Amino acid sequence: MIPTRIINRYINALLDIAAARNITADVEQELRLVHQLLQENPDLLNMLLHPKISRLRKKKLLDEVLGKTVSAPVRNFLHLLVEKKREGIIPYVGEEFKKAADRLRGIIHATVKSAMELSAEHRQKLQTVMEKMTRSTVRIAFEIDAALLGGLQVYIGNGILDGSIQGRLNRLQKYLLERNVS
Amino acid sequence: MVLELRAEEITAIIRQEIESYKEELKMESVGTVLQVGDCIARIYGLDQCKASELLEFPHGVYGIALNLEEDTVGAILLGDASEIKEGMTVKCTGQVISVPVGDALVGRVVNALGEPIDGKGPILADKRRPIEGRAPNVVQRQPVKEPLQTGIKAIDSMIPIGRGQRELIIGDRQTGKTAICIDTIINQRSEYEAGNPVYCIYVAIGQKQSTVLGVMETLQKYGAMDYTTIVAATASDPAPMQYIAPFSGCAMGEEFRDTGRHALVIYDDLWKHAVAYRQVSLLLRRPPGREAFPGDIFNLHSRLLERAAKLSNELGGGSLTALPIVETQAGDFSAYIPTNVISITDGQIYLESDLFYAGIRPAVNAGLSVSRVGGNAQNKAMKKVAGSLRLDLAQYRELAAFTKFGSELDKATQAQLNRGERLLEILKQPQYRPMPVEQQVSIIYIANQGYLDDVPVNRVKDFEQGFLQYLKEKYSRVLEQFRVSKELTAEVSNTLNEAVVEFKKNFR
Repeated sequence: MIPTRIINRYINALLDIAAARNITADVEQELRLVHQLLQENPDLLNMLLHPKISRLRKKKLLDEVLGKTVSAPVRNFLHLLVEKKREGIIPYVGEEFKKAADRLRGIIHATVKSAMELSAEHRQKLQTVMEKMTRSTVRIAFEIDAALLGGLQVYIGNGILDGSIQGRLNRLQKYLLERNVS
Repeated sequence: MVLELRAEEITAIIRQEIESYKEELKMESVGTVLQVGDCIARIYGLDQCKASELLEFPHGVYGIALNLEEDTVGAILLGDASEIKEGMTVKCTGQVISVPVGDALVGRVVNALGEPIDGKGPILADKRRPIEGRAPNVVQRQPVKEPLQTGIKAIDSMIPIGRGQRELIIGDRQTGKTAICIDTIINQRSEYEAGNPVYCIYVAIGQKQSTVLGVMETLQKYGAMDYTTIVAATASDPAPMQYIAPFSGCAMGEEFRDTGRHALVIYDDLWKHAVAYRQVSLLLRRPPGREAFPGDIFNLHSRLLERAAKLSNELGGGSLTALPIVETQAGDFSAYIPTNVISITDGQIYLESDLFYAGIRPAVNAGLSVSRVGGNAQNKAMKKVAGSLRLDLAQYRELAAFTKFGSELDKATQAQLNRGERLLEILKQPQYRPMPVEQQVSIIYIANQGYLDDVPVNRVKDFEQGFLQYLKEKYSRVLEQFRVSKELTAEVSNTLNEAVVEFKKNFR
């Protein structure tokens, strides 16, 4: 389980600073870099998470590895996480920051599941319909799920719009079971 | 009813149903199961979820949202949790949990969700009711004034229960708590036959399956299932089912109350209900309080029992009587749950194992038991005879304690003791033998008048039986008149005096 509650506290603070200084895009870029670095060097992450290595050494290590590539807010942010013994959330901050920044920009992420590949024309149509519906920019991730049989399932945030054949069959089944037929 | 069902008929019905089926596509709020176990699920998402909303899990399992936290929802699962896995999708339904109510439930055995478990086919109820409801307010009520006859002499005379009252039955295990309730249900048979039934709902919470079966068979044997519903959440059911069972039973009773009829609901027992709720609460990480019960355990029971009421005449004058049972551990009445429920209810019936083993059954402790509604719930005749009965018994108990060792007693004391012994004897009553109120009054009347004083104590039971039989045969007209008028007129008492003198001549 990702500790979203803790991550969001730190991310929101960083986002406030970045927005105030108008460097949101830079911070996003830098955090992605950090994420990439950690993925390529698992040993680095292991060292950061190791309980026997002192905080001072971890901070030094971060400085040495990242050097001048990151700006002061990001550097301080990472130091703060080490200081507060929250190194564990460092691998997630890149992704979460992107989500939070997009929310601020008014970009909504949605997932559309379909039984088969959608044509470019259909995708374009979905895009316009959903942008009209939500009145903001929508980034759609398309997925294929053969179990749906047909139709579409749209996920936006915590909501779901189920127009798939499977979903409709499920609802029909429930309706028939609930009817009192004597 | 069903003679033969042809395949094409079924197809036609289903086709018709499918044709009339309409659906709308709407945005549904969903979440993901983070953690599931012990009939508890923690769900991420569901940001539109409201408190105690019904949640829909895959595989037709439902749940109730109890904890709304910053980004998770804690829910209890109703049904088979073994199919639910981490990562599954949960939907809000926008409804609260409800059970079927009405006449279709009479004579059935159902689980806490109102689904039949007696193998007698589906319940064709056209109405459902949310299990949690607001209790009637002050304006909608009226004082309790009609008696609810239990058919038990010791209770109807000294601790009368009125329709709309909440009377706690408390005692250790094996003291006859359930027996009193079963007798009360059986005694409602006469009301049912008179066309003015008191619908009974027996809610079994955390009982053994075999006990529930035993209760059902007893009720069937005495023809009491014709007006009774059993709601069973047995020991093998998950804790959430035991937690909602009394609320389901109450909702079924409320339907009768709100349609101007009378209902009686028995919660057997609230101690186990509290334990089930404690389990659910602790697993949901709510902070524990005294005896590890959650902080809202008092509110849980008081909002349940407040729904018992006598409605005003404008609302039809229906009533819902509640008989909660609480089991004590080794006679400890001052434990948390017993004291809570004692303070909520309008009185309590104490049952004691010492009395039970001394052969006084029902083992009612007349000194500690009270009914705060009292005489308002008694008819005039009973009120008249019960007053002196209470007094005589109280004096007897006081004297008996003093004269345990002494042998020389003056005549008055001896007479008092004699009377007391015989009164105690007539208050004993075998199980499953509820007695109509007019017979109760007759026997208590003659005992009060001293006609039993010269009958040996061990023959009092025979005398009572013989005398009541004699009354039925010779004076049935007076008994009938008495039953209707419910008053101990001079004429009636004279007849009783005459009858007892006549009967005594032949009693040897």
